[in-house]
This record gives sequence, C-alpha cells and structure tokens, in this order.
Amino acid sequence: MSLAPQTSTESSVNQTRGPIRQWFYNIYYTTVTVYKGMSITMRALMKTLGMRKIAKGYDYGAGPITISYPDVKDAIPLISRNRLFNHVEGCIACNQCAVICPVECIDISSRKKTADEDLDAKTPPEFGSKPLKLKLLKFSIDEALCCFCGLCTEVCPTECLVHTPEFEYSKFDRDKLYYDYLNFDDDNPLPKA
Amino acid sequence: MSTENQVTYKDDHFQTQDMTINMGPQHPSTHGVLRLEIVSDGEVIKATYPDIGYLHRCFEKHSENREYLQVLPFADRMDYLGAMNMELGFCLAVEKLLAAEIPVRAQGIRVIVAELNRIASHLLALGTYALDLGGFTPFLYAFRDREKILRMFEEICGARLLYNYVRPGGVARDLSPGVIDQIKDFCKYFVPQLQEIDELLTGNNIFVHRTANVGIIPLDKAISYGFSGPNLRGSGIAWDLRRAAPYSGYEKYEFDICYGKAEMGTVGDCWNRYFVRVKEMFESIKIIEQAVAQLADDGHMGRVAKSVKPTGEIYMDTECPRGALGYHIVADGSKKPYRVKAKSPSFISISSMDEMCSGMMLADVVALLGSIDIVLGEVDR
Amino acid sequence: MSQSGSTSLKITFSTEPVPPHGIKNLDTISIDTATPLVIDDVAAALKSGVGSGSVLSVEKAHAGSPYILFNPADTLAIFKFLRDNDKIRGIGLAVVSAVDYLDKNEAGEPQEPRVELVYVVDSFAHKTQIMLKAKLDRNAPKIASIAGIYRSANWYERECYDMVGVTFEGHPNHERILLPPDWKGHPLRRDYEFPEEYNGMKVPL
Repeated sequence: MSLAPQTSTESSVNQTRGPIRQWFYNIYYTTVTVYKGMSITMRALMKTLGMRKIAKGYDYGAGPITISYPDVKDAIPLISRNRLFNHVEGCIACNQCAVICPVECIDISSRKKTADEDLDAKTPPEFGSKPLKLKLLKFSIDEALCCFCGLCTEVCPTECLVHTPEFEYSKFDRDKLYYDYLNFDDDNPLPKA
Repeated sequence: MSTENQVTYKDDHFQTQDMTINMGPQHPSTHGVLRLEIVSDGEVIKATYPDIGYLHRCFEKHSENREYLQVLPFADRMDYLGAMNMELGFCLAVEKLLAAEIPVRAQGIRVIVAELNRIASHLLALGTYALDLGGFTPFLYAFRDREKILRMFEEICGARLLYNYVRPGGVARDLSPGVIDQIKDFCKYFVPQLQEIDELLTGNNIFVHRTANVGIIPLDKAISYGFSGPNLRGSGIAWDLRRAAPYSGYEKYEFDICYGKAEMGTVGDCWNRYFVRVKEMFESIKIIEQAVAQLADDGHMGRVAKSVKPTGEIYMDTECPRGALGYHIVADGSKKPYRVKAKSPSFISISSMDEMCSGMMLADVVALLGSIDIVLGEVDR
Repeated sequence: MSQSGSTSLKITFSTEPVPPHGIKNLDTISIDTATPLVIDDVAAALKSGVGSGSVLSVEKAHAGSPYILFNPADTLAIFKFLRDNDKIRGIGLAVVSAVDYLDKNEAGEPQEPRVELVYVVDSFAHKTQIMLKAKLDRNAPKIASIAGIYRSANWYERECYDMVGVTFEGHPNHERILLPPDWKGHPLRRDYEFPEEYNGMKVPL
C-alpha cells in the first residue's frame, strides 16, 4: 500500500555499485524524489488556488484549509468543555462538584436556612424543581486551576453547573480568573474587582 | 599550532579537549523539556547524559490521595498525545481487579477512539520528525489531518486533547450517529492523504540519507533495554500487545503487525522505526473500519459504580502509540488506590540514549531522538 | 590549557555484555500460538535451578496478577536464571516498582511494615509476564542491582531510589533521576512530609 521501494536494489543507501556509479545514481535518485515531493506541493498549491482536488474517488474540495481566525471562527460543538458556568438559582449546595473535583478548584459554603427564610423554595423547573434546603453563601471557581475534566458537571444533580463552549477569556492577571458566581453584574460572570 | 614545515597529526601537538555541549531543556528538537549533556570530541559524541525531571508533576503521589475517577484526568496528562490509550490502560487494569463486564459496544468504541488517537499521535511524530530534519512541508500536512481527528474527538467527548472519556466500566458518553458518519468519512479521506505524506518523505533521498543506517539499535540491545511498540518492531521483531495479549475486543479484528524489514537501510535504524509508524497508520485505519462495522448495541457503560472499590494488585500493559504502557496498581479495597505506578515507554527510550549515541555525530542525535518518539509528559509523569 | 586527550568519562550503564535475544525466528515469533507459562512451573524451575530457599511463596489468592515472593539475597542468581533458562526465556524486564507499607494501613489496622519491590519479567516466546516480589526492611531497604542483567533496570532502579529510598548495591549510576540532586527525602514514602521551602522557593501544596 505504501509507495516506498520494496526491494533494496532501488535503495540508494545499501550500495552494491561502485563509487562513481553510486555518485551518479545518488544525483539521479535525489532529483527524482525531490521532483515527486515538489509535484505534491504544486498540487496542493493548485488546490488552494481553486482547482478541485479529487483523489481515489474522494472529493477534497477546493480552496485553502486555513481560516482567518479571529475574523472567521469555526463552530465548536455544544458539548465542548471550556469555561464553566453555574446557574446559581438551580444550585442546591450539595457539594458534590467540590468533592469530585480532582484539583479542588471549587469553593462552596452554605448554611441551613433560618426560620424566616422560605423553607419550601424549589429550584426552577428547568433544574428539576428540587427543594432548596440550604442557603448558598459562596460559590466560586478558580478557572485558572480548572482542568476541564467535566467531572463536576456530570455529578451535579440539577445540572446547573455546565461547561460552556466559551474559550476566549484570557486575562492578564491570574486573580481575575477567580470567578464568584454569586456576585456578577451581567450574563458573563466577572469577578467583583 | 606548530610552525614547523612538517605537520604531524599527532595528539600531543593538538591540545584537544572534550566539549561538553548542553542540549538544553528549551530546544525545539527534544520534543519536550529534556536536557542532554553531551560530551563530544569535536563532532563525534563520546557520552550523553540525559537529565529529566523538568516536567515531573507527581502523578504517583497525587493518585494516592484521589479516587479512581479523579485519577483519570491525571492519567490523561502523562502522554498527552495518546491520552485515550493512557485512560484505556488504567481502566482495563481497574476492571480486571473488579472482574467487571464491559458491554461489547463500549469495547468497540474504546478501540475506535484508541486507534484514532494512535493515528493522531503518529501523525504528530512524523510531522515533527520531518521538521527536525529540515523538511517543513509534511509538518503542516500531518497537522491538517490531525486537526480533523481532534475535531471528531471534540464531537465525541467535548475535548480535543485531554479527554477523560474512557471510564472504568465503559465510556462516558455514547457515539452519536453523526459522529459515526464522520469517522467513516475520515477513513476514506485519510488514506490518500497518508499516501501523499508517505511519498513526500519515505523515499526522499535526503530523508533517507539522514535517517537510514543511523542510530541502529540491534534487537538484543532493544529487548534488554525494554523497548516496546514501534521502537521494538523497528528492530525486526513482530511483537504487538494487541495480538499477544488482546484486550477490549482486539481479537475480533484482522490487522497485520508492521515491523522493520529494511526496505532501506538496516533493521533497527531510524528509517525503519519511522516506516513502521507509517505502516501502522494504514493498519489503524483498517481496524477502525472493522470496528465501526461491528459496533454492537448493548450500551456504553457497564454496571460499575462511580466510586469503585477494588482490591488486589495488578500489573497490566497495553499498546500505546509509543510502546507498552503499564500500570502497576495496588488496591486495598478503599475508594482511593494505595499505589499507582505508571511504566512509560518513553522513559526507557531515553535511558538508551547514552549507549546508542556514542560514536554518532551531533546531527544524528536529533535524528535518533525524533525516531524514538518521546513525550516528556510520560517520561517524568 | 594543557589538558590533552580525553578526560575520564563517567560510564552510566553497565558494561556487561547483552546476551543474544533468545528468539529463534527473527521475523515472526509464534505470536498467535505460543503457550503461556504457569507461575507454579516457574517457581518450581527457580527452586530447582537457583536453590530451594530462593522462592519463599507463590501468591495467587488475590485479584490481579499472581506473584512469586523471592528471597532478596538471591536476586542476581534468580534474574540470571530467568533470563538465560531455555524453558522460561524471560529476556525483558518490564518494570521495577517500589511500594512502601507503614506499620498501620489506611484503615488503621496493623500490618507488616516493609518496602516491597515488584519486578515484572517479560517472556516474549511464551507471551507471559512473571511478577516477582521482594520484601525489604523499611528502615534501610537494600537489594542487589540487576542493571547488569537487564539494561532497563538501570533507570527503573534509579527511580525507586529517588522515590522510595531503596539502595541498589552495584548500580553503575546510583543517583536521583526525577527530582533535583539536592532534594531531601523520598516522596513516595507514606510518612513523607512536604518541605516548606526548597532553595528559598516556597513549595506550594
């Protein structure tokens, strides 16, 4: 299946010729193989310039492969595991995500509800209408530590903790990647500082 | 130098000294943070002392304090280019301790992703090997095809490089029908592209002169050093763990074992190790096509709890793109392993550098390093 | 500089000759039809070939790999026998791993304090892996180095020294490998305390 020579007489390295014949054979063989390589490169150039490439019955299309990111962005699948987002109205403070995280980047603290707080509250229907028994005091994730394994999203019982496909969120300062999900002021959670 | 008319090339006229050259941890050709201290007499090398540990991330100590499911993301990160195979080895060892039953569909999915990962890893090995030797074209051709595989992985499990997909008991999610069509399409797409890359490199006289008869590792030394995988097969023996100790359903698929036959150069040299990898990619496509055709219907996860509690002690190795990766797991019945030791093939490949490099020239060290295909993540763990 | 000729090179690998690979057919071994070895037969062969005191027991009761517990005093003889014997042909060494056991296990129950060294020998011709174990004294674990018998043992033993502190007598290059040479302590011991600082840098936990 491969195009490498199958017998060693075509090899230019295992020499059974005299030195002068070998010298000329080297020149010939180098020219032949470099020509083969350059012709492959030329065919790739033709494809980039618009000539359709069809090889062995498969249509490779025409045009360049590279896309001019950031002007043109590729669509990434919805299950892509990038930045985490927690819908805190659906969080029942069960602590499962903090326990399973391999790098311990989730900080949760909660307390039992007092008598004057709504003891019958439930999470919204899209998070399963589960009873909210605890009051969530703090929910923060250090996104600089997160290893994007997805284990926390798998164990969340209400599926309020999700991975979003958002990956362009670099900051200049590592502390800015400490996201406090109870204190933000627009759709993307930003730290208070 | 002496000013006499007769120049005699005796050693005591030239005050020669051995050079100590540092091929430092930051180097484009060492494929990671590897430091080689090379003692050479001019261009000819006398000794090489590899210095590793720059990427040591304490995998074994971490895994003493984490549950089995939490160890999996750490196991990914050892050989980050072949992460599915790392996870597969760990999960197979744990499942053997549990004596768990894996559904047939999960085994088929595991084979598909492991072989796709093998192709991606070999493509990177070839591309960067050509780049080290000065051929810039095959690098981007290989990465163009590798990009297709990584996009498929993103559809399968959500991540491009570090998957956390193979779990004890099966796999984390099932393959959707769209992804299966993409995989079938990829098999048709890839074979002509691989033949193109092969034509660019394999017979190219410049590449042949750079790699054939260079870095010959004879079979007895290769076995004594504990080589495995393509490095061992390049030295002439047809030993493949997928046939010798089949796991995850490999006995159902037909494929040839590719080993070095010296179409160019001698058996055991850099060219043969490279060519074994090229042939292996063709065989991997064959395996993927068979696995997709034989996918069963019985679920993607077996009856294994999320926090497993195995007991016993096992050593098991599997065929990873770089060789035989082994896990020695000591389990004491609790949720966390007592000891996990990972035996990595690249560790062994670097340990042979000292004996193999003596007598070579300096430029051949780059050729040898690229052909034994190391990843420092699994050397240092 | 009046230094001429070559300085003495540090030899880091054992200079014992490597025996022939022991595989009869170079092109294909009988990978599909080879007969695996049974661990009891290997233990019996060891007892008769090396000495009856070399094999202490054969453990098969646990889940996972069965192993042979051997006497650390006979290490060199045992591995030479495994490598050179025609029936076993264990020509490759897969791994050398060290495990530390304190006098109480994780659940608080008492156990024998020891350092266990695990060796796995590969036999290609028989498609088998033979696991052998040695129990060493935890306070001063010492065993003979088999770097002259298998070249792969060289770096594995260095790693065991680095991580658990086992001394290998006769090793050609007995130094730390993964950690810096001036690191104190052996991290994979169960009672290892992480240092506060290393050369002025705080050690993060």
